[in-house]
Amino acid sequence: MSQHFLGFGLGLRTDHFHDVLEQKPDLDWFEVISENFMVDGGKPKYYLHSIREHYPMVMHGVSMSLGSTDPLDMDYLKRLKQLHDELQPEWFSDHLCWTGLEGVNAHDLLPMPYTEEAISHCVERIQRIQDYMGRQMLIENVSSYISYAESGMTEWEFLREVTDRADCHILFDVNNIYVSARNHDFDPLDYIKGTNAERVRQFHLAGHTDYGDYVIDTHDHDIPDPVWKLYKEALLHFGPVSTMIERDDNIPSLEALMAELDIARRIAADTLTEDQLTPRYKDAV
Amino acid sequence: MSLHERQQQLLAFMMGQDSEIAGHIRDHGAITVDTRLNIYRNAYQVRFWEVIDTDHPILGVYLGDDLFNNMVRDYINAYPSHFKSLRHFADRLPQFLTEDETLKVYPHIAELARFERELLNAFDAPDTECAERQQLVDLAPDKWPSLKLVFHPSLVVFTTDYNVVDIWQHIKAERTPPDPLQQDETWLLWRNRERLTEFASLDNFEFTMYQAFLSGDNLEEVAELLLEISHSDPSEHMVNTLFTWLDRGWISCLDSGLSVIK
Repeated sequence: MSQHFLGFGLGLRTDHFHDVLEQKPDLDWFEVISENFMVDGGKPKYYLHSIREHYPMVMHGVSMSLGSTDPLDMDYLKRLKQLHDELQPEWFSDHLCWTGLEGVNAHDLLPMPYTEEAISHCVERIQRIQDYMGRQMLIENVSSYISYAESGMTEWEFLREVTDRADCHILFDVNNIYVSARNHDFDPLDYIKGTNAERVRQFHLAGHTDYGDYVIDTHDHDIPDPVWKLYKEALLHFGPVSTMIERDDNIPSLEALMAELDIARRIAADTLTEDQLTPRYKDAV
Repeated sequence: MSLHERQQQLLAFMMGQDSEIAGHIRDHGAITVDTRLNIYRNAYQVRFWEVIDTDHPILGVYLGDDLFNNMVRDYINAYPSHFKSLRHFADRLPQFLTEDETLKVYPHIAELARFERELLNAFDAPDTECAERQQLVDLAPDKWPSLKLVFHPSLVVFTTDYNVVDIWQHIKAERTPPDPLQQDETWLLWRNRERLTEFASLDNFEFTMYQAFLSGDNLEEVAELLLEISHSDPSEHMVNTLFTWLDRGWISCLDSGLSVIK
């Protein structure tokens, strides 16, 4: 039985602010994009705090750039900590990637080479971030379209080494693994089997755009069958893990997303026991 | 080859600069290295295009697709993001429009962009409570002369040499915009009690009154200043203006000198 299972949630998006407050939908938690709320005030922060009164939240960042060879941005971390103190989330997360260099931010989740140098670099920075924030963090696997010639291990071996050495947790993005498996010709089950189940605290589910020869992680479609199948495999391997749907474009109604979340619930109910799927709010990371 | 150099190479490629990155990418499967790398380069352009399109919808309509797309392409190259949040990526667009060879000959375009950015600034300015008109009604007469105002942090003064607010309003209402005219205008932008952004033009009386209170003058000092410019007793006009400001949520608190009135 997981002591960290929050249940089933959604990414909180501007389009749904009003409906969430009005309808108080039957879901267990929300994930919020940290950078969207690093503003002084106004409507987004009003809704954020109003919704927080009704739901547990986790914070998910996209700009920490923990793999970049630039120095850690302490001003960013300070603002992240301020928001963290305001929201008191169950946990916070960001990506195992880099987003910019020499002050330029590409606002993209760029893959790391899977090398010993990159492992050491990421581990040292995650440890400093965790020290600064005063708690462990979750890091997410990104989808990718390139792999570097010098990579000497698989992505899941890289993820395992980084998370074990840094002693952090994993936000396991099921869709990203499907996307990368298609783009790099590996078996996604190998990724699942190669990941340390003890460290997985959260699942992301999302859709993508399939161009035939390759797949792009667009978050603008419903979750397709292959990702649902992979989700079931992940549940079998990892057990109950807090699950949420990320939708960032072509955003449907809240009702439609709730219906999609019900699919996740049904798959989990078919795969795990009722006791395993009882949310645990109090003993999170 | 170090991690730093590899990151330099990929970012340079994405930004359209010379790069050796292709030689360090695994060539495998049905996708060419060129296709793989261009997924990142295209995403770099599209992401920033979407930000400017979202932040500047009226400017986009005003310029039309071709001019807008060229402007975005050149802005991305001239001012790559140094921000953690995309919210600020286009902060320097008005400045860029005063420098761009094609568009700087139409200076009202930079002003239109600046107006749209000030609307964004009002939208997510810090929160604070708004004073109510009843607080002014309840103020003892002997406290009025020393009254000072603290304005809501979302208030932004927009002074311009062009009729860009009129142009903005026409396009917003899907009407043909007027020709650009060079004329001095002063507007005040704010976020109202429903957290929606509004704006209103200020005449000389109201702007002078606003500036004087903003600089820390009390009501008696502001009245003396307004008497000089209006050549008549400004009291009634001032009081009406104060109530209008309170109703609009411009004032966060009334300071009577000895204590802040809550």
